Amino acid sequence: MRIGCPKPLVPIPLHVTGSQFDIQGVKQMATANRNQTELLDIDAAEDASVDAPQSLTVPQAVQRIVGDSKIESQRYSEEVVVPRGGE
Amino acid sequence: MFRAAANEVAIFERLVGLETEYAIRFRPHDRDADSPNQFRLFHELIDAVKQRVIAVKARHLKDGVFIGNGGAIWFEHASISTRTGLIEASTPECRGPRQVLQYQRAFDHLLRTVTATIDTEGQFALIKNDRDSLGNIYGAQENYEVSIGGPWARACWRIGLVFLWPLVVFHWLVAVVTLVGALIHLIVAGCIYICLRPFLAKVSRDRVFELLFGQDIVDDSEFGIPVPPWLDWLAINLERVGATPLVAAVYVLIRLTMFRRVRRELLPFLVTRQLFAGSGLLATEDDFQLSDKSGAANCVVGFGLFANEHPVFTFGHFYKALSFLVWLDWREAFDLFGPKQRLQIALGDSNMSAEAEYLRVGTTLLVLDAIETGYIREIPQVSKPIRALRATCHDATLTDKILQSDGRERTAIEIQRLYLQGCQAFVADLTEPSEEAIEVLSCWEDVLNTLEDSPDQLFGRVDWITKRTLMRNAVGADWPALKKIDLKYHELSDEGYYATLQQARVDELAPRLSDVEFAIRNPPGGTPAAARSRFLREFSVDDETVQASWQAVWIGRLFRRRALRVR
Repeated sequence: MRIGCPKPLVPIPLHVTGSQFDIQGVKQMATANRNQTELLDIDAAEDASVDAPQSLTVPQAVQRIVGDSKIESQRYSEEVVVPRGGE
Repeated sequence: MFRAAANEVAIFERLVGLETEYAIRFRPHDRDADSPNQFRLFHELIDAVKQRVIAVKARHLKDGVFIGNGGAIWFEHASISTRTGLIEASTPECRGPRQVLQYQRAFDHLLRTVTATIDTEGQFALIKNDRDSLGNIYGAQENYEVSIGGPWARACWRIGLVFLWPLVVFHWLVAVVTLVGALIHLIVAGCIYICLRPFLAKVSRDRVFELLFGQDIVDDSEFGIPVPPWLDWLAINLERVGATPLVAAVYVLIRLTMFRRVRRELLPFLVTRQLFAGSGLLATEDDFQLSDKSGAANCVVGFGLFANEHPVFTFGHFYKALSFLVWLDWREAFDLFGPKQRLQIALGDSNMSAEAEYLRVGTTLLVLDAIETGYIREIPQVSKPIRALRATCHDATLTDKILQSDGRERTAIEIQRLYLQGCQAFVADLTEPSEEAIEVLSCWEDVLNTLEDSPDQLFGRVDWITKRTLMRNAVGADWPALKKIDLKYHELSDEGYYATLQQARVDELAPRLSDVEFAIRNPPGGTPAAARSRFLREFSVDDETVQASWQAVWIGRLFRRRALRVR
């Protein structure tokens, strides 16, 4: 499929500049870019993939929650108000 | 009776996506300071999102952006005049429950991390739940691609759509009249104010100004619009009156033609799905409910708040496509003639437990596949579904019986087992059953067994049980403290109670952080989201030249704008 396009509307890669651009070509190029991005993202994600070690036991976590629930609880409820339901 | 050969069935192949609304919570550092406009907070959030991922403006009536993974973040207005509302995230189109879970958690993680970095002179967090402290309802919606029905149903739907057009045009005319009326109001109000201004004291001047143009103008808010609340109310209700004939006709057409068999076969499953998918609600001090939303459901089919309805299945998107979105893209109307459409379930809760979220989507997908292939056909209907929904919601003992159309009474667990058995037969007949389907079945059966034998063991896996256990442990806690547990359990921050529990690793099905980070940036493969993401990466420069919708990525300005279709 080809789409008429008098001149480039946005800075686009060299192979798609000109009076028209080929969507298939764009898709291939985009796929290449995506793959490259994925590789980069995988690298970034690997750095972040060291999930934090278990820092609490379940009773400790429950205790912490129960303790916190009694602090400024009325104020907390007042902060969670949606003026009118969405949906 | 027709039953497709199971070995020909592609399981978990339909498109599925979640929409999740998050309440905004803001606590100013200075206790006496006012909270900022929620629409401003949304803009701050979007700016922060843009620091992390590609994001382009959505071509839609709502304010929002599409991000590099093909999903979107929106501001759902509760009131135009006061600029209050909710943040909404839509996952990209996915296939299969694991993928849905991964992308939903990607949005949760992205929003959680960016809200923590925004400097707004206060504590800004999002709450992933379905009811605020006053009981207002919002929350999660599920979207499944489903066949409309047989050839007759399809033909009737298409013919009906054609005959709807006079009503669509009538609605457009009312919308134009409303818009022109608002413009005339602005001109007249401006003249009145200019004439009165010299005769008014400063205080009175501000009052008149607010009455004519709204609070935002008085506050000089950069995100304000000159609409007072009374005009906002008038415009919304005028628009509703104009839409009523169309909405009524769409309602009748949908009831008669759209997803009839699927809706009928799915309903008993959805009525009882809250057993493991409910997120729990403390409605009053001694009224703990399994689900945030089920107790408020008041109809099976509806449009989502058009007439204050809280439906199981919502069809507002059909009405919106015909009424408004068609102005932005003619394909919105054309796509309604397709053989498969979006079945939107408004009943589900927003889950914090990954296992509950996985099961909510996974079991529904499996049941839909089994229904469409004829493996689930003879499950007795629930006699009074809304009453049964509410009764189940209030029955934490899980022993109440529900009357079904075969005259028998079954518990919610027994009804779930009927579906489980149907799905087990369906998957057993598959030549190459998917590993994921087997995992869903195994998890589903285990949860039902545990619910029957020792439900408290589902702490960390089923939200309402986890929440109830926390409340039981809060010995001596008063109502505000218990309600805080109910709400803060859903907070997306390091201080959120579910996040605190996660530090003790209560949820083994939670995706790894590396998978979540990957999903924040990359689309699910083989879906329209993958094409959308590719075009965004290729062309995104600024909001003026690139916009996106669920149908296309739009490149260029005004009349030179071109659509690159993604579906």
